[in-house]
Amino acid sequence: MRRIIVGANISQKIIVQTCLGNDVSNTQVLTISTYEKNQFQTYDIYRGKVEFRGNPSPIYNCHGLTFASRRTGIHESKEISKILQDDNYQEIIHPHPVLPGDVVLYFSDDGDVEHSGIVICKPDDTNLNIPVVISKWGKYCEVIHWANVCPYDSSRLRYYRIIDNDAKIEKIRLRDT
Amino acid sequence: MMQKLKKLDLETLKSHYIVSNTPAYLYKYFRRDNSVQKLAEAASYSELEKIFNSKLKKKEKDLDDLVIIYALVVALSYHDYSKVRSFFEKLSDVDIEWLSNIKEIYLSSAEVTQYRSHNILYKPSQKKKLDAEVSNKVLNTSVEPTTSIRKV
Repeated sequence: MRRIIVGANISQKIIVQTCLGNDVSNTQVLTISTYEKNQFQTYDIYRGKVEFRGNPSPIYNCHGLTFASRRTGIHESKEISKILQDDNYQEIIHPHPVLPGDVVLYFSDDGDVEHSGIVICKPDDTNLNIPVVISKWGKYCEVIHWANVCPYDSSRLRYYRIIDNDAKIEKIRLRDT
Repeated sequence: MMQKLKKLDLETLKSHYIVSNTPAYLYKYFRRDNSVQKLAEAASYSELEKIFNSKLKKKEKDLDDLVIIYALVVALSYHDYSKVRSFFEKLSDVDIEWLSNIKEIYLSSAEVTQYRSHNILYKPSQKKKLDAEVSNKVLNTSVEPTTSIRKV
C-alpha cells in the first residue's frame, strides 16, 4: 500500500488555456491527509452562517472553481491576471449592478488575489448590497456564502464579467493572424 | 534548539494553512504571524536550517510537522539574504507541496538596494570659522560604495 505523507508533493498538471490559447499554469493536488481532514473543524464556526456544498477536494482550489471548471488548481495570481486579460474580463464598477455569474476576486492590501468565487445571487438593498457567492475554501469543500462571510479579507472585493464579446472575438482573430 | 519551536503559535498557523488557496497566501500570512517573527529573531539561520532538515527526515509527518516546516522556511526569509539564498535555491528539491512556489516568491521579492556614502568636508562660514577651527572636525569618513540586499 502506498503511504501518503502529509504535504508530500503528489500532484500533476493538465492543459488549461486562456481564450487566446495561452497556457495557464495549474496543479492538481491528489492528496488530502487525515490530519488535514481533522483540521477542517476550523470551519465549524461558520456552520449556520454558510452552506457547505459537496465534499472536501484537494484537486482544485477557489481559482480552479472560478476559472478552470473545477478540474485543477490555479495557484498563482499572475495566472489570474492572464485569464482576466486574455478572456477580456471587465471590472463591474458601481453603479453598474453585479449579477449572478459575475466573478468576485478578493484582493489583499498588496494586490494579491487571495480568493475568488462566482456570484450566484445578486446584491440589493435588502442584503446591504452584498451578493451571495459560491467559492472553495482551500482544500475544503465548496461553500455558498455572503461575499463577506468567509475566512478571507473581504474589504477589497472586485467584480468582473465578460461584457464585450465583440472585442473578445477581435482579440482571437488578431491572435490567428 | 527544538525548544525554540515552542514560540510558534501552531493553532493560528494551522488555521492559515487550512484556508490557503495559494502559496502566496500561505507565505504572506505566515510572514505576518508574530510567532514566526519571534522564532526568526530567536534562532540563527543555521539553527533554523538544522531544525528544518531534522523535520524533513521524519518519515511520517503530521500536520504539525508540515506547518512547522513552512514556518521555518518563512522564518528563514527574515534572515540575511546572502546567508539564506542558497537554502531557498535548494527548496525545489524538497518534496513538500508549495515549497518550490515559496522559493520563487522569496527570490523574486528580494530587492537589491545600493547606497553610497560620500566624504563631506565641513566648511564653516566666516562667522563660525573660529568655532570650527577649535573643534576642527571632519564629518563622515567612509568611502567605499556599499551594496546590501533587503527583503521586502
